[in-house]
Amino acid sequence: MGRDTNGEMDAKIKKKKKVKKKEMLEGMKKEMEIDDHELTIEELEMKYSTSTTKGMSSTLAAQVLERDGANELKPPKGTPEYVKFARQLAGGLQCLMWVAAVICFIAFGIQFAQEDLTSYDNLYLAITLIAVVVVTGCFGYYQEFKSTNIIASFKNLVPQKATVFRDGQKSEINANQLVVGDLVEIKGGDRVPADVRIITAQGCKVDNSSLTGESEPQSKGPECTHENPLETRNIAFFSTTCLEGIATGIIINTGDRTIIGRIASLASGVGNEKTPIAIEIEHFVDIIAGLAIFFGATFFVVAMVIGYQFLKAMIFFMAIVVAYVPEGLLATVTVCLSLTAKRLAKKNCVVKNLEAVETLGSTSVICSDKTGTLTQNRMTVSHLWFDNHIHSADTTEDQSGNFDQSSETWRALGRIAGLCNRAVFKPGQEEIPVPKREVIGDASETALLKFTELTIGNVIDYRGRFKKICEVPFNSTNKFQLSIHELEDPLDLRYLLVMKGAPERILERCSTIMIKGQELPLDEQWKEAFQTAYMDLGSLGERVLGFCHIFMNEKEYPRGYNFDTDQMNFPTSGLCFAGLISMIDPPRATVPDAVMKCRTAGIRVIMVTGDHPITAKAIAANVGIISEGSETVEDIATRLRIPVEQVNRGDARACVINGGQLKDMTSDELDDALRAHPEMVFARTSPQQKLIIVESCQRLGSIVAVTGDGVNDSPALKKADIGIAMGIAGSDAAKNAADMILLDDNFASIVTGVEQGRLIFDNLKKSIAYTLTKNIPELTPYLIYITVSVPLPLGCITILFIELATDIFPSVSLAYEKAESDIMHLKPRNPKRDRLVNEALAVYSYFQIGAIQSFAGFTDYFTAMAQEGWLPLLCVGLRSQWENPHNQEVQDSYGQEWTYSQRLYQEYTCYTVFFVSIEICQISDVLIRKTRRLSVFQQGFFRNKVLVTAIVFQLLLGNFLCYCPGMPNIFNFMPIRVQWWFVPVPFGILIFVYDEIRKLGVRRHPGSWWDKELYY
Amino acid sequence: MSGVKEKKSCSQIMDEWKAFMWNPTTHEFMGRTATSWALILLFYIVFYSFLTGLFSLTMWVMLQTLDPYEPTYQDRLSSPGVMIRPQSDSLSIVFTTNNTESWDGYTNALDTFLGSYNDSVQLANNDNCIPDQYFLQDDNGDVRNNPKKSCQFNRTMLENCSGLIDRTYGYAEGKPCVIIKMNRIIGFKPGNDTNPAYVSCTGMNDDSSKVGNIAYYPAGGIFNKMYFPYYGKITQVNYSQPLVAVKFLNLTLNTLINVECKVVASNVATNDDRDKFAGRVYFSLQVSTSQ
Repeated sequence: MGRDTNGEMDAKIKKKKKVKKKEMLEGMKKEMEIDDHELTIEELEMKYSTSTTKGMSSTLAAQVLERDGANELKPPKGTPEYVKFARQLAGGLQCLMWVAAVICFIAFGIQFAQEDLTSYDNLYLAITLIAVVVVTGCFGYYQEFKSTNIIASFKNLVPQKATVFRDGQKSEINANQLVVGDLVEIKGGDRVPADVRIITAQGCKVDNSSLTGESEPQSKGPECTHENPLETRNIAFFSTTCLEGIATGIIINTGDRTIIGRIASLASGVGNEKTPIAIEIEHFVDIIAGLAIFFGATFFVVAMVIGYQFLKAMIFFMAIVVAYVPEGLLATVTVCLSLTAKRLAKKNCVVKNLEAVETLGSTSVICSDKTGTLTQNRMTVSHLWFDNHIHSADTTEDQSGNFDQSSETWRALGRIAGLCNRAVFKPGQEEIPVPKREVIGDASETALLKFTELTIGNVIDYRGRFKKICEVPFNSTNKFQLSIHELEDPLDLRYLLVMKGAPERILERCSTIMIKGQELPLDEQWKEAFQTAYMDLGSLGERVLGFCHIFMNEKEYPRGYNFDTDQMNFPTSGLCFAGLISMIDPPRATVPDAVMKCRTAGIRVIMVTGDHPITAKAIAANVGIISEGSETVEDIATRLRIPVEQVNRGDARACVINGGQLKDMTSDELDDALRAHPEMVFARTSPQQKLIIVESCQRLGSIVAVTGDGVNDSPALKKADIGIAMGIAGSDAAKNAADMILLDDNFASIVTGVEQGRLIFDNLKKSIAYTLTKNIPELTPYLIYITVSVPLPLGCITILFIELATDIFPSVSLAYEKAESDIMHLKPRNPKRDRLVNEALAVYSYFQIGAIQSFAGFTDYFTAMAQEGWLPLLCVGLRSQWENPHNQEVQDSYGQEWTYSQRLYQEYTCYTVFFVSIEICQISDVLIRKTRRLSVFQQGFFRNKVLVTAIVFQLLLGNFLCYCPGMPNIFNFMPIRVQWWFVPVPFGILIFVYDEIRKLGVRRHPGSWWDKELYY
Repeated sequence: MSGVKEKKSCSQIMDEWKAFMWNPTTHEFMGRTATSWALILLFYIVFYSFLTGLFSLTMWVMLQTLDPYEPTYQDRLSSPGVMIRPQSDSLSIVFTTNNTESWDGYTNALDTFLGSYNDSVQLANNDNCIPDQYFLQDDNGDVRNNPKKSCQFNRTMLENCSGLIDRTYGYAEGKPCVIIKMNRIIGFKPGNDTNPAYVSCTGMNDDSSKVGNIAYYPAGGIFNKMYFPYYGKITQVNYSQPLVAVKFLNLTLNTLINVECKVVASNVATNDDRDKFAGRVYFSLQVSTSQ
């Protein structure tokens, strides 16, 4: 076996693979280098033979379409259905069973060739083994098929339209018909149809969050601002959304050659890792195979020494090896996993791959994307500063809670926020709660609109009362937005000017400040207060806006005054400052609690985001990824007023690394950083860097879960041991790459997943221990039969009935067992040390409980034989006479003579008696397997109702098999005498008592020899 | 199994294996130190000794409950099996009348089988009982009526098939004798108060006409009731099973004839599909004459 040293090997091999992957990644990065943003428009026109006024010619476009193919992401090469099915047939246990089936066929072949066919058992066995693999395969396939269907239903099938200029004509065509060089127009609300180099733009803002994770809209314009195509302003990317404004541009990449397409294909290039449970099962198969061959070989030698023919001994060898295969285990494992999958589905986690159910339980690191996963992915007003006080607004999903609204200043501030706002609700949403309504407008205006709708009331109505005279929209040069309104009161003829914008710019234009409804002169003291508040809010990673207003004198500006927005013939300075409002994409309400639970469960939560470091850090602190009191190196430096270099890195628990720094780090440095700082935040990361972070965690021996929703997350989702995608916000690419999908986008569901995963690991251990135990009482009869030549105590068909009928339900019922201790307070299991099946489990099940069961079986067997006239000593060596079909006069211990048929039925009686013994002992076994450490009495005897039902079912089925007429000739079960059911009872009690003693010792003396040898 | 995917060099496997077998740094043999081995072995010795002890105890208790004279249950022995002599695996008797070697195997077997039925042996060991009634020798409460007597079954009662009158049992003249024997079952009383069990042989299917006349010895082919019931080999040491000899007087020669011999009695089942020897026996006869 020598399993432990394999780890090193694995690492070496992985390293080799990694080198290859690195090369691939580097290649991918180079490919991403686009220079189109640095070209002038003329060069661009040349390059793509197009015109920035007329667009392409239709004929050329058709040719290019022919050459490049349709502008759509090729759906990731779905695994063909037959491969998925074949995968179900090729797991570790399945392979074991295939090998066993082949051995059975060989043994059958040998017997057939030798004309030594006493029974067709080997053939039946082979067929059964294959049937079990195929049936469980179908079951598993069906399960996965069902969950894939759930996921598929999310796919958005509405074709997309795009406005394009061709031959100087503006037309609307299907977006997938676009080609490189096409001149397209994008306006607010559109999805960018391809990678577009912007030629002209008016107030165009794009939401890049699905690509980079930035929650702030990016403005786009024709000028090249950065050499990096991802950072520059003159390229808009495929699949991002244009929030507002209008732009025209030339398509420079379509379909899979777009940035997003490349990321998506990067995901499909990342190999799938083996799930931890698959590794565990392989380890377990190793143990089984090792023991089987060891036993088989031993008894092969014994048989040869006794004097059997070589071929006969060979058949014995094969039979023993096959007898070691736990036929029922595959079904048990599959059913247990799918039960948990079902339980998770009820809690909105859909599992695509059954084995992933357990992976979450083993997870030791969660790399979580920020936007949309930890946060709500929508800007929300979080703080207000007025009356020299920071008020916090409710940022939970329903925004129900509120703050002190009695101040006059608030009335002014609210009025400005409501009026100086161009965002409107889409019509027909009166029924929907405000926070969920869709809005036309940019993110911060949306936030303000919703905020005012909730605090003031119907904003549209409100705006109607303050008739808007004119407005100046926001632009990047003056950085403010203003509008002029008539007042609500028809008698008041003044005009109201409201303005919002970058706080420092707003402050510059103010001469007074409103405090508790009073206009006070804006002196240095107030400016200082403003600065402090501004800094405070900024350091929370929030976007801050300043608000001011002025009531214009009706003398100077009488009704009908012609306001000219270009000339600005109205006051734009000397205004009255009302306050600050800051906005953030707030964390989901359930997240901080979930992060806390993950921490108590020993799981490290790392934030990996494309967003800015300050925002990322603020959210991290907010949800508890950076815990209270933890400081980064920079924090310590500021606190101690020393240069960053002098800070002892060990003192900093937290660490924020941005993509730029990450680029310069070697993988060793990254490993060190991950080791040194328990609380990590990665900001401004690219999809490749997410991948590198995941790999680094895996290199440190962690089992990594990645959560994400964007296309940019998909490579990391694929690379992770378990990828978790968001069901509502998640992109198709993310869902395709993930193993698990959270239908409600709730990070807290992950905690449930972890709990269920850990529980199923514990319970699978119990199920396996239960299932393995009976292997020994099934095997020993055969060993005794070979060596001592007694009539066969237990037949092959009977064994199959135990494995595949009576014991399945009890072993599955252990999956319903409650956790023995608070599993969410334990560390995640160490994949190298805490194995699913360890030697202690195998040894305890096989050589202790299994041994007791064997003795029970033999006691009952010899009792049944003796009471029918065959005393134990006569049985020894009786085999050749007993099995001779021509001998009708074999004498028993009392001198009676038996025909072959009478002896055969007696043999069936023995099978049944042995069967009953195993059943009785297995009842005891399933009871002891309820716990591994606690006493069964502490766990509650009848708490697991399913288990109790299973025992009743097992007994009823056993009785049915024994006493149903016709059984003897079909399945070799005989109606046995009632008292033989009770012979094994003392052994059952022994099993129970012995295990209670074992558990007592384990509890009382942790770490002792007893604990080490007997705790599994 | 995992070795398939993880490519390891042969020497590495050997090294690992060696380290597993004997690790010189930790002094571990197969993953355990000497003390550890000693402890675990001791544990298992104690464990298995206990189990063996428990097993022996339960077996001993169980054996104590058994009656040495008769079995506790006879669930499988409701009806006796039937067998013939001379016996072979195929249960066919094939010979040529004038070829002595083709049949002397059969006659020798019969001689050996009937050796214990010699009148002298029977006279020495067994009693002369009252015929036509069951020979009951029940225990009187707890007082054992041991040893129990057995009735004489003399070889001479088989007359022409006794091998005393015709030493070839009719094989030489093509009128072979076949002896029918019913399995011993303790306490079993074949027949009822009025009628004893008897043997009846017929040809199977088309062969019924080819069988010809059959003579039964003792007369009527009956198993006399005085030989029943059987009381078990411990108490009824010299029990001699009653026999019925069947002599085929004019078989159709040179053909294989299938014969079925049944024990006819109200309490002997002869219609068990699964057990071809329950109360009946099938065999085949082919008597040839070389021209």
